[in-house]
Amino acid sequence: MFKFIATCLFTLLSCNLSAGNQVDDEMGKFSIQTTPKRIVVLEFSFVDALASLGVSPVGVADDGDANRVIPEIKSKIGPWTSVGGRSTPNLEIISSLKPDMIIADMQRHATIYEDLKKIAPTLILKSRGESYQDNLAAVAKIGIILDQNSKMQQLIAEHHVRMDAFAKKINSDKKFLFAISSTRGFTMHSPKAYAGGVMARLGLRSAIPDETEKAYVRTTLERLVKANPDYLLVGEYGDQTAVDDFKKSPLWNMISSVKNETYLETNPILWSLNRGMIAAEIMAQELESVIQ
Amino acid sequence: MRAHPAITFICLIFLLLFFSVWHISAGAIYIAPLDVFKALQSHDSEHNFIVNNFRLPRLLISGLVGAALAISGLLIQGVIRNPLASPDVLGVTSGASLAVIPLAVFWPDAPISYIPPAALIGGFGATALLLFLARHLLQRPAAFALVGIALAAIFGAAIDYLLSVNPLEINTAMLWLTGSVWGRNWNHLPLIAPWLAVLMPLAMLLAYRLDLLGLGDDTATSLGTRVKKLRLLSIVVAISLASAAVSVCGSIGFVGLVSPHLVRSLLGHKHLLLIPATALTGAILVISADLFARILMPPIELPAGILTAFIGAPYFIFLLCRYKNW
Amino acid sequence: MSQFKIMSSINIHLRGYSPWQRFRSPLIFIATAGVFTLSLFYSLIVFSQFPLTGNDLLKVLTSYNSDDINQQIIVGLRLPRTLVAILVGIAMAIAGLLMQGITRTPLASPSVFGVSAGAAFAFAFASTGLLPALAHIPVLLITMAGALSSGVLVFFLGGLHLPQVNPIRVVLAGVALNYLFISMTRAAVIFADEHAYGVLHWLIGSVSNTRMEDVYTMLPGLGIGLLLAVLLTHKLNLMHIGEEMMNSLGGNPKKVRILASIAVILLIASAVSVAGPVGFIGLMIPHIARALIGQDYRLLVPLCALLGATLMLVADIFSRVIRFPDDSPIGIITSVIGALFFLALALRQVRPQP
Repeated sequence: MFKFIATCLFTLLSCNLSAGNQVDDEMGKFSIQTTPKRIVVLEFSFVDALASLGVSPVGVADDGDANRVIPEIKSKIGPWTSVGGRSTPNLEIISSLKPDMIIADMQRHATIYEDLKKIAPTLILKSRGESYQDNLAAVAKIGIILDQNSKMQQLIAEHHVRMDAFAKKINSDKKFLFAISSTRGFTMHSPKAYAGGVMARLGLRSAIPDETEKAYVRTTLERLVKANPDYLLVGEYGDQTAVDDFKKSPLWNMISSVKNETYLETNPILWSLNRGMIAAEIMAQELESVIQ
Repeated sequence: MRAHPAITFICLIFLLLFFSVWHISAGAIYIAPLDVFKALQSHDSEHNFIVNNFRLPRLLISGLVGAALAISGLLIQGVIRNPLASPDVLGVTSGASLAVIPLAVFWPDAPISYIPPAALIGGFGATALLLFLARHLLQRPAAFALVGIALAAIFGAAIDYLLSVNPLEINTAMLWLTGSVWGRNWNHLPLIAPWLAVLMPLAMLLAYRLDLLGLGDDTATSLGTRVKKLRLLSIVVAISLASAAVSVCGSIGFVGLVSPHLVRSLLGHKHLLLIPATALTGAILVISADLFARILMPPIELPAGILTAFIGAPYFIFLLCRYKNW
Repeated sequence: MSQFKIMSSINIHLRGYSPWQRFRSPLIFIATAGVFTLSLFYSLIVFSQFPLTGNDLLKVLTSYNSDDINQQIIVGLRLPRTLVAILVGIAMAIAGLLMQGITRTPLASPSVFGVSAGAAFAFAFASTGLLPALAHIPVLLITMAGALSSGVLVFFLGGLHLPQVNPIRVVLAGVALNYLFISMTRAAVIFADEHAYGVLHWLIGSVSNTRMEDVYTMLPGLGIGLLLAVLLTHKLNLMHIGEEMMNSLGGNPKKVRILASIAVILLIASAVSVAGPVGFIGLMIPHIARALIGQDYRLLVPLCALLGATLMLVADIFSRVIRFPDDSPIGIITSVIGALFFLALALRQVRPQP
């Protein structure tokens, strides 16, 4: 009740008497009367979207580690409160931040949708396992809800201009592949995954074009040799990971990327965790520098 | 030397209250016990929202789930007369999980509210299968348990298969498999409370006959108890309680195994006393597990199932080392 | 009775009278060896995205060229993977045989008794880096410590030190420990959100990414374990007939149990440290072997080794095909078959006695 009255008062006080903004989210229609100011986000891709608009979230589900947001994005926004892990965000902290909107991920947070809605209006979008196109669609919706539709559209247009410029500069017909290497396995990201989508956006061929169903493909060295990327980018979680074992095999040197010394170890936090326009442009930059 | 039962009960109730208050006031945001009290009374208090929406339902659900699992374990141990038997061992838990995982894997868009009934069906399905395969074995409880273990292994293998073939949904599934009270709210309460309300009195009614069963089959039969029927009824009650608990929180291990032992060492073998005391102990165990799951490394939340394993397992090993009456 | 007479009566007891028995054992060995060779051949070349043929395999043997990619796939990837599968199969099968022999419990095996799970937990715990000192200890020692501690726990909790062994008590103790170790392994890795899938793969047991180094890791433990098993065959035969008989012949059941336990721990530790807790091989194979050639451990040990290796090879081939071109962990194949086998065994165990 208290919350309701507060919301009403806020609506009356704010001079913004527009009918509010509305988008279709993963749960149906989402509408909000006022422009949200205190936003809690439960996935990294939403931080990127907010940062590009210069909006700072009050809370982020950052797995308890603020360094999981790349510095380029961190510098654009103010400090936030960690609301716990992405798979089990802490509802108490979220509610204590008194947000006026929550942006959550369909896959991870559908189970707590009802709880989140009680705290604040909750926008559920795709994030985990999203493609490059999914991300842009989600970003556009966030723009509408934050009442900055035109600015967001302009940002997206500028993003496309820059990506086109990168595509032109890179202009390669070689096969590209991004993969994650952890202590217990090696996972290739297909064109359906975000990193693969960015590569496709830049007009690059994927080394595993047949993987149209699955975003992440766990693999052995045998399949990697078969995929035979000309450019291989690997993000390592940890010091000693699967790729270090691969390197000891003579087959590793038969991958053309290794032969041509176009193998690159990248930051998995950038390439896999922080999906969004800002991250995509940094990824494009890294790709450009590998090729040069 | 055992203390008087009344003293034991008072101690248990005191512990339950102590952990409940701690559970409600501790967490990512500390609320002084006095403020908790205020928040419960008035709706204007600043902590009202957190207390009423998150901590209170979680406390109640933890308590009820713990009580259900513990009684279930007590009944199963009473029937099978083996201190190592428990709902997890008989395959009820894995049967319920096996019903839930395909839901997450093949039908990810299904409403979340489908999970509890699916788990319930899975638990009962596993029980039906067990009762069918071991229908001749109701007189030989240990053999009965062995068939349950084998079924649990099959369900476990099938779950592993589904998860490794469909990797994307693994995180949600893992969380559920470990057992967690995270994100449970008032809507989950009706899924567990009625079961307990109906089945606990029934268990109390069974108590006297279960005591006779403890004297051995021959004695029980000569005293006029229909042993086979009693076993069947007790197992159905036990498994219904366990399935209901699993359907709400996933598989929280060791509660059904450990609580009955603890209580038996305090109160002896009278089921009429054992049942309420075991319920209290189970509640205390799960409540404290959920409490530590929240406060050990905030703001990260751990699955409560891991905590019960850590609390329960060492105690269980200690018990086994001491146990003599095989 | 003279020593000789006792021995021949043992032989008769173990193998039976019929002359058919004399031909049966060699036939079974030849048939198993045939299946083994066939699956070995297939394991090296089938289900690859590369067009590997028997010809490539022949070339590897005759004119090996390390620059040829097909040959390199066979030598660099398929060979270690196949060898690891064989060694793990041997280790698990022999471990199961010894466990069943010394506990005289038909359900004894690495996975049912929680020994594999203990080894797996030790490994997972060491790889979390919570205790940095563990990083300097060889993997084999860590998994051995895990297998040893869970083995000792099952031994005492299950009452195997008592004169009267209650098989169901042992199984229940094993299951409870198994459950404990699996929850603790999950706890050790629960924070590794990005790695959840890899961790699951490993917990199920997988030989996908194995290298020649893994074969070398396995060899010492496996070698000593196998040697012990072979040396113990005679004593195990005596034990099977009865401990009274063994005592009268001057054998020491306690010593046999201890030596066999050491062998079991070495075998399980070396298998788990490379492939994870691949399930149920140790339960199934000894039963199949016994059904084929009876109770003589002198034949059982080699046959179990052969059958275990064959089953692992076949399971490995299946694990590649069910989601081709993706690999699945081999453990899901062995667990699904093995769990059904376990149920059948349990039902047979508890069949009402006439």
